[in-house]
Amino acid sequence: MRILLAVNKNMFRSIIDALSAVKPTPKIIVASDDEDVEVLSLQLGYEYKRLRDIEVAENLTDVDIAILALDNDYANISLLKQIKGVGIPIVIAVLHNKENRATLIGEGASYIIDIDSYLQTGITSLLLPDTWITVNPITPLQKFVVAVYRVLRRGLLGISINDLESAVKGIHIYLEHFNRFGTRAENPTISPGDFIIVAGLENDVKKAINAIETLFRKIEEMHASRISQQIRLREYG
Amino acid sequence: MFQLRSGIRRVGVAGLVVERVGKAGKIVEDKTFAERYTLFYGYPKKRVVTRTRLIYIDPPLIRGKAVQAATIVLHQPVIVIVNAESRCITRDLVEKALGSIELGEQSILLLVPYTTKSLEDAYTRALDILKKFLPEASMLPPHPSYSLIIGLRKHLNVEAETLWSYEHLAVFASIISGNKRIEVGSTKCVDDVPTIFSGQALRYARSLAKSIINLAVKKGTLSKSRAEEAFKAVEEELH
Repeated sequence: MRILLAVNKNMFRSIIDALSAVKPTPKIIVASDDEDVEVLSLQLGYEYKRLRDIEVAENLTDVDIAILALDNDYANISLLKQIKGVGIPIVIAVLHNKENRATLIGEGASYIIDIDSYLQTGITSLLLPDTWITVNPITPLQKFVVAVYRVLRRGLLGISINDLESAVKGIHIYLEHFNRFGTRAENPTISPGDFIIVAGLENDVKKAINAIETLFRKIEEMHASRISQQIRLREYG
Repeated sequence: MFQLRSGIRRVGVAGLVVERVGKAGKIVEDKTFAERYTLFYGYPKKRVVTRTRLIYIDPPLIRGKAVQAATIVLHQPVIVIVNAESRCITRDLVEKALGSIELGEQSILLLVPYTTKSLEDAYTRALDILKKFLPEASMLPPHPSYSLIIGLRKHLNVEAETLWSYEHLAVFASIISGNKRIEVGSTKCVDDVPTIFSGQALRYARSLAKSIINLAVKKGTLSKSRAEEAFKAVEEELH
């Protein structure tokens, strides 16, 4: 298998890591304008080309997969247009701005990796606690979603992951509980800063979110009524 | 009304938008051009209505980046970069300009200034500094940016970056490589730069001056020691 990898220096390591797991080992042609990438790819024994030379490259006709991971969307679109005539069967493009998705598809990308959504989800979940944020991690599987919830205020309610599991019983989803550093939480009680992850098909995830929200609200109401009773007792007692 | 020629021509057109597509945006939709794109570089407004393919430019609000993106995305030998918000650009104007490029009279044509007073002032100051070090700088266009840029792709696509006046880099690179077929047209109509860019004029001028010095060093017309002096002058005088 021959892979054309147009990549910038920031994404070089992660993509090469992923490609090294492919068996049988593919032949990789790296295309870039970064000096760092040129040095690295020659050291690792890959064929290297400058982006300007891609248009005239003759040996691209037997490339099976092209991965476009350049600095920005317009550089990816430009290269996509250059290699269009060669007829590479699978073109995977990294999307930097999710608004450009339609344009990339229109230009002929077969698959799109949306890094914009991941970044947004990561940052939004940290900045907006006690809010459900959903992301679609595998673009071709539009119905598969992952919902992330960072607990802050509701972490004081003393709810455990077992309570959540029983609330979503019967719904086909994957439910997980991580601590604030992204490792699996050992303590079953959900505390401030923890993450609750729900993954599954869109409808099931929605149902699960509703069930969890209902549970949270129910316990919040119980706490509120207990506190209000305490206040009343203090006033008249 | 000037009639468009039939058939598809080897011309690519890109419309730059920062707020909303204006009358000039219609030119970008003309199907006789082989490639048509609208490049949106505004922020935080997110939606523009256009019939062409739309590309969102990152980082937003950097005009230099948007013009450079147009020269990268369009693959035709002749490219037209239009400020799609312009009040001054008409189809006749574009056709006439294109005619002279296609006949080989010019290789870069800049029409309709896109400017404000503060931009003009900062640009003139930058130009004065550059002229001391580079005699070629006197041939740079008189305004800081233009709404209509037409030219051959090989001349417009320069490996250099600036915040605002990217066309000036292309012009400068052409001048120092001996290409004199550059024309800056004079039109009475001038386009105003939106207020979102106000207060940045000096930064834009500084960025342009530095890019031009770098380009001159790269092409071998300015020695490194002189370039250092020029950088120092830019830092001191453009603040």
